[in-house]
Amino acid sequence: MIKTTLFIIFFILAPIAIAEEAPKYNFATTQANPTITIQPGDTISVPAIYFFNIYGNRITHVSLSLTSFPKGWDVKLEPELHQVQVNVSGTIVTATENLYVAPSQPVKEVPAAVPEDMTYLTLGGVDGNVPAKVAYLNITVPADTPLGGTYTISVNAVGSWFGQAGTLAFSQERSFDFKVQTITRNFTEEEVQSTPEVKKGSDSLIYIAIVLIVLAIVGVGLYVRKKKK
Amino acid sequence: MNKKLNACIIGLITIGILAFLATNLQTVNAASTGTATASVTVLDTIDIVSSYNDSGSAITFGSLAAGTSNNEATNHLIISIQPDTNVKTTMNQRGNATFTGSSGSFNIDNLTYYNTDSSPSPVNMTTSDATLSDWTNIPVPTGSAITKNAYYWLNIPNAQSGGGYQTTIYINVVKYT
Repeated sequence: MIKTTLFIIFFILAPIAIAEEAPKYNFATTQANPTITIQPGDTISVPAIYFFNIYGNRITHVSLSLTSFPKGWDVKLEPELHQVQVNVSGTIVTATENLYVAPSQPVKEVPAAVPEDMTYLTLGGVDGNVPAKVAYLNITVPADTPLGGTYTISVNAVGSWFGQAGTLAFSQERSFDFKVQTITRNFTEEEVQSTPEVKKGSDSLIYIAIVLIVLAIVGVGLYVRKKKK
Repeated sequence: MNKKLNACIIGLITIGILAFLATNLQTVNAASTGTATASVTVLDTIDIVSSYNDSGSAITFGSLAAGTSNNEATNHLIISIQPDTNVKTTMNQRGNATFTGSSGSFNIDNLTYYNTDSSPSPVNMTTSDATLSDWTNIPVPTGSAITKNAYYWLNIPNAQSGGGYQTTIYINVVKYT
């Protein structure tokens, strides 16, 4: 009697009804070069993460956040987080995302004109070129940052999908670390310490030669002395 | 006698000079080898597909009574690590702090999960990433996807108000280190 109240419990509402097939939520990433070099005082924009969706059948909404970066640095993610209105099965909802990745297929040939926010990847186990969206790291390093340092920038990416009623369903998360090395672009080289070194052959042979020559000289000396007597 | 001694001395000097020359000739004759450095950075790819065993679109518990325990979901989550993944991975899971609904809320630790529903030892869901032994150090797929399962059970607190509740769970598949 006391337990008569019924509940309807669910986690995940249905995603966008693009097709009748069972939903497959694909969150696929390739991290670009995890080592970035920059000269203090410079600003650079580098590809950070590639997102693609070749095994899913639902649009993946990706939101990105910086979880750590050096104090005093100006670090931004591009595209920036923004809101966009989406029609999910007739319901208008607002998505907050940096980018979205629609289901796609690898292509044999990379198109001549590739949009600025896209690229094509070649991946092991996949025939053809995989269309991918690109997220960039925009980094400005203060001019007084010491050369030769290594710093870490961490990015968290969340892939999520809309449910049938327009509510966000479950999410996949992934974190990425980038090592940023401060260098100078101007190549210079000068001698700091001069340590002349004449490398000869085996030292043991030199010693043998010296011993033999000394023996010869001593022998000559003894001979001359004997002669005089 | 003198001739023998002379010959001996000349021989010693000759051997000494030859040994000295030999040490220097070694340097002269040393092979000169140029080197070049080749470097490459192989990029890490992680490709994960989530789906449900019943082709549904939600982990569903249906209608439950307050105060009931260990109610198994009618379906389960399937996580597939696709063959283009080129790193070992670890799969973590966490949830929001509560199930929420128009009638109230209850804590996420009422939700438990495990990698099988055959003799399971369910683990309480928390707001921090947690893994299972079967979900860590997952090898690189070779040729076909590697599949992992997540089963769920739910307790409904006593006197919990009637209504619909929901939460969000996060599947976090990262490079195994």
